[in-house]
Amino acid sequence: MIVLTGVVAKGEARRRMPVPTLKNVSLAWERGVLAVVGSELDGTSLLLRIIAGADRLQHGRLEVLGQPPSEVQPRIAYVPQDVALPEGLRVEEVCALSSALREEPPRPARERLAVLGLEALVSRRTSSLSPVEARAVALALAVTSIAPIVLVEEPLWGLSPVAPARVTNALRARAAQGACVIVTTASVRDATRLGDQLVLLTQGVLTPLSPGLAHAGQGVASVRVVLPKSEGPRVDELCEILRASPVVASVEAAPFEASGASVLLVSGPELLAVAAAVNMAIAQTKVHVDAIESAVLSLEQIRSAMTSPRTVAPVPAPEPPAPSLPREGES
Amino acid sequence: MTLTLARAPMARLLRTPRAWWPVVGWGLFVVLHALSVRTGGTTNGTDQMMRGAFAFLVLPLVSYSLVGASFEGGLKKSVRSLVLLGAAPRKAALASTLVTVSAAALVSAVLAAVVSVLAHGATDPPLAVDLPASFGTGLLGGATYAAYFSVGSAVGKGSMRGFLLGVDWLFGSGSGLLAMLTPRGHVTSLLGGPLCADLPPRLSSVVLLLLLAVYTSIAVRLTHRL
Repeated sequence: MIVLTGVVAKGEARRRMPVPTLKNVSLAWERGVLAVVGSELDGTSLLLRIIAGADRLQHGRLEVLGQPPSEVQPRIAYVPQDVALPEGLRVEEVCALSSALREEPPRPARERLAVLGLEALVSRRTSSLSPVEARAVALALAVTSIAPIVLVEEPLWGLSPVAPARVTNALRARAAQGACVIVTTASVRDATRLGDQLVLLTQGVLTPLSPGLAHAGQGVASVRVVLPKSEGPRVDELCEILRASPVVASVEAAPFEASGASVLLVSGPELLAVAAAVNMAIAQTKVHVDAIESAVLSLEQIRSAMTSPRTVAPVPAPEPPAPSLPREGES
Repeated sequence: MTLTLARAPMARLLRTPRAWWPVVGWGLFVVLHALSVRTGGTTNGTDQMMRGAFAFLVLPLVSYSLVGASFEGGLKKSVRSLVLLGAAPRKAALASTLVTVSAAALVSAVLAAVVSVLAHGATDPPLAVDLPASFGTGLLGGATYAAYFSVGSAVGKGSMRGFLLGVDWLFGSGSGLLAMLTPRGHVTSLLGGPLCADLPPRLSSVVLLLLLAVYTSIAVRLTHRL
């Protein structure tokens, strides 16, 4: 559905900032979620703008649904980081306008906004929305549209605590319906959470990235478990059970004096097997857990891993998250 | 499709009261000025008002304000919000520009008609002739000015709008090339003032129509990449 062949492009010049570029980028993506990992300066925004038809190629070929992007604009749902909704309209009118422009059958605005829990915004004027709310509305419209191409910049950035799980589910549901979804993010965690496939964009150069490498390097996957202060005495018990598991290679515990929380980094060759072992151990010990999440390398660690893979090792996260509000869909 | 696209710029104009403050201000100014001309005993009040305050100040500044209100942050920013909802950039730019051009044309025409009635003096042409002529000139002049300023709004964040206003004031009359390409000389010619580049008034109205089409298409072309 999206084919880029040898694409060379240059972004907008901004004062005191390097100009983002794309250097000979080739990519073909048909369905599912492709997560492009990299920062804006690496060209992630430029890549999405090019695919959305908002920027010009200097060289190369780009086809979206077999045509240049300008020919298929209504079939592309694009959500940049800085969304601007039409001023003077109410959110429900924006929903209706979007449906009309995409020639979709009209649907109640509440139904579309409910995907991200935004029903309360339905009668608000767009000018009264905060940038985060406006972006969330645009995201809701994109994931509920029938557009076969969905392009989202930093999909999980700046959302309310429960929204990331909803956005993830909505994007994955669109992908399951056959949509071609491309997300860009500087967060390796967000990328592994969303993407069926990961690619790394470094200074305009696109390289494939294996999920294994994103998680913890060559053949090593890690799961991070955050336990509240009250479970301190039982951390050792949990560690012992995990160490006894054949799928777990190592268990590292790090207490944090400030909050009193404990963080365990459990590693093994297979992410799913490690996650299952962690769940079993938790069930067995009946400890209360604040969060369980896949431990991922940082963008810089991945970049150095790709140049010298042997130096990579799982790195424990330096700070535990705030003890309350476990995020939906993470356990 | 263009009508669907026109809903957003129309709503922005109609539902944003601050957009209308400059228009109301210039409207009040011209109405009060026309009344003062009439009470001052001037016998050719319409002639004097239309070629003076109306053509030089009110017509360009009302259009300037309306374009600014429609395209706050630039034409590209306004169009981008529609493109994100699934509109083609050129169609969205065309719809937004046409709405603004129509609003500026209508407001200018109404103001021109009000001025010609209020300031009408004994030596002015009969009102039955003067009123439609003023209305028509206001309509065409307002539309052309709005298209002209839309080009300025389509460059960057719209700051070129002010530059184009300056060009119109400095070079808009006389016989130079810039006078041919800016609306002021042609509007003044249509209102009975000096000819613009030695063109007869009838030809000036044709040139204004051409400028309207050309500037609208330039504004749309400048917005095809966002």
